[in-house]
Amino acid sequence: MHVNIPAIIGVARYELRREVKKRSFYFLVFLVILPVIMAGVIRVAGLSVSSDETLWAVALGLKTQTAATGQLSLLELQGIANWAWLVALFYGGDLFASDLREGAARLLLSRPVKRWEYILGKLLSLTILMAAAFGAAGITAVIAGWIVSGPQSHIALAPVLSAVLGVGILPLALTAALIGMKMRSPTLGVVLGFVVYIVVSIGLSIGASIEAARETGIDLGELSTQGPSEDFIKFQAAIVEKTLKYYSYIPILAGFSLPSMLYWEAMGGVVEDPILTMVGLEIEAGGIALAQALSLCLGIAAFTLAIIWLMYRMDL
Amino acid sequence: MIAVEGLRKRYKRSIAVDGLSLEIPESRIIGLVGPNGAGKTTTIKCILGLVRPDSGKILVDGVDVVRSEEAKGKLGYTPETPEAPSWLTSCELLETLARLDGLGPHESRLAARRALERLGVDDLCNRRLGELSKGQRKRVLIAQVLLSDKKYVLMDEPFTGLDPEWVAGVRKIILELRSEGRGVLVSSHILKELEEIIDQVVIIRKGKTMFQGTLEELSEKVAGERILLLKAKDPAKAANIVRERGLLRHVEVTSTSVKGVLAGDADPSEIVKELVMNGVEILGFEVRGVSLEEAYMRLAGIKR
Repeated sequence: MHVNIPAIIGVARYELRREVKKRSFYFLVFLVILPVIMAGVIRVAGLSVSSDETLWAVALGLKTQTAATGQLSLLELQGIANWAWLVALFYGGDLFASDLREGAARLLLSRPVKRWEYILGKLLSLTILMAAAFGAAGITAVIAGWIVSGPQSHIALAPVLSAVLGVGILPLALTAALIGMKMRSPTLGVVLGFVVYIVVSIGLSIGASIEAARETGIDLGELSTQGPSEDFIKFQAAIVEKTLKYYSYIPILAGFSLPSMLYWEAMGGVVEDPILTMVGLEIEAGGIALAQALSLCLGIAAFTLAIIWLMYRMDL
Repeated sequence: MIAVEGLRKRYKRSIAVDGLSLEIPESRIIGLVGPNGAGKTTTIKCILGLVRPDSGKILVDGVDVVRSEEAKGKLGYTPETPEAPSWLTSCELLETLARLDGLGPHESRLAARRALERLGVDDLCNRRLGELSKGQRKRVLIAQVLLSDKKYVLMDEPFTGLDPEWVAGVRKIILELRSEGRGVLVSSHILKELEEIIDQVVIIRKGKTMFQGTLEELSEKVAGERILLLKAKDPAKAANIVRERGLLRHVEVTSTSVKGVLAGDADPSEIVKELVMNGVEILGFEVRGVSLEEAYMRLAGIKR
């Protein structure tokens, strides 16, 4: 099979130009620099925060702030990781739908470019843009951490793990892309992609809760009237454990958790979480990271094949 | 040569192309004419691989275009609707397409400029396509077939949306393409638009080839046929009578007149006499030959 590399690069260049010219690109840039702005506000306002050498990981959503303060949770909320799902939906939703609507797909594919080469070119461009934007967010997270909490450690990890998150959002982006392509509507791609994301996320939470209740022998009906107790904390810890396991089974979500698992693997191999610490539960991050990485790769491959299959069935 | 054989394409509810065959030789301009919905656009898109045919063969210089990108690389295309990415400038679009044709960065920039200059619209180079009028966008999309050496050019309704001055300009470009040795397929629903430039015409109706040949051959097909144009006070009544009695073929009625082809050596005055005897008041009548446009419209099933 002959692969026309210049054609793939040509399409990727076109797509990169398109993505950079979109209005949502400004939103992406804003998200990248927002932690620095928030850190500046905290600093100027003189709000006291605890010292944390890896505060950048909080800004990137890789860990929760154990000695939490209101100001830090505010910073955490503004990091790009919190909006990764939105970025995925916006960039995925119109990845192919806009080209189909504006006649660009027809023009590009009337040249000597195979449909799968066109798709790979677009995906290559999206991957590069997301990895670069999220990687840059890793750098701004380090700067934000330094502004708020002083010198940061393990800073080389920040852009790498953040870039992994950029790639990790691809299955969700491709879900929206597939829907947008089928419906030939970027808006429907975003909206229905969001519905899928919500349904899958809620499904995961419910599944994790039910399995956690079964394992810990807790009656969910009674629990709601009991309030915080030892059983409740055990139950919560079990939910965290099950959720991490379930992430590995769901490619759309696996990539959102993978950078966090890689972070804990780099930090000693055990997932640190306030709830897990309270019940003395140790979860090895390495195994979960491997499973999630596998799930992510399989998800990207499966969605890419589905898009190619659909593209070959389409009349332009 | 592009050879299309037995092309069929069915959409969910209708058959767009039904066993169509045609040939596009080099250095020839072929007119693909037919009414709206006849299957012109689908045929062109099938040749380009943009629409998947259900059956049939499309060979470009003997090579199946579905299996060979090299064959596809010989084809240039201008779409019917002037749709293009609104956020790109004209030159950016043309450069992108030139790169996909295999040109280098510098060559692509030059080719884009030259193509626009050749059409006399180089002032559009740095303007975003979204800001351009439909006519201007159409010209940019016509310019894209001039980017590289396309052996065959498929133009879907290239004159639609252009003012008369520009119609002449595009005709000139089409003639230049032929003189450069390229085979050109031009579709239109109006034969008159193409009469002056085409070497052959393919008339299609409901996805089927109704006629394929030169305009002379089309003229010969209808040579000797005469049309009787009757002006009557009650054209509908007159039409009923000539239809019922088989006095005229292909009868058309307007609010003031009835028109139809005289059968064989029928005497027009006898027809008028018979209508008068049946109570139709005739205001006047005229006998003339069949024009190319009328022949086309009849073959294509177009009613005025």
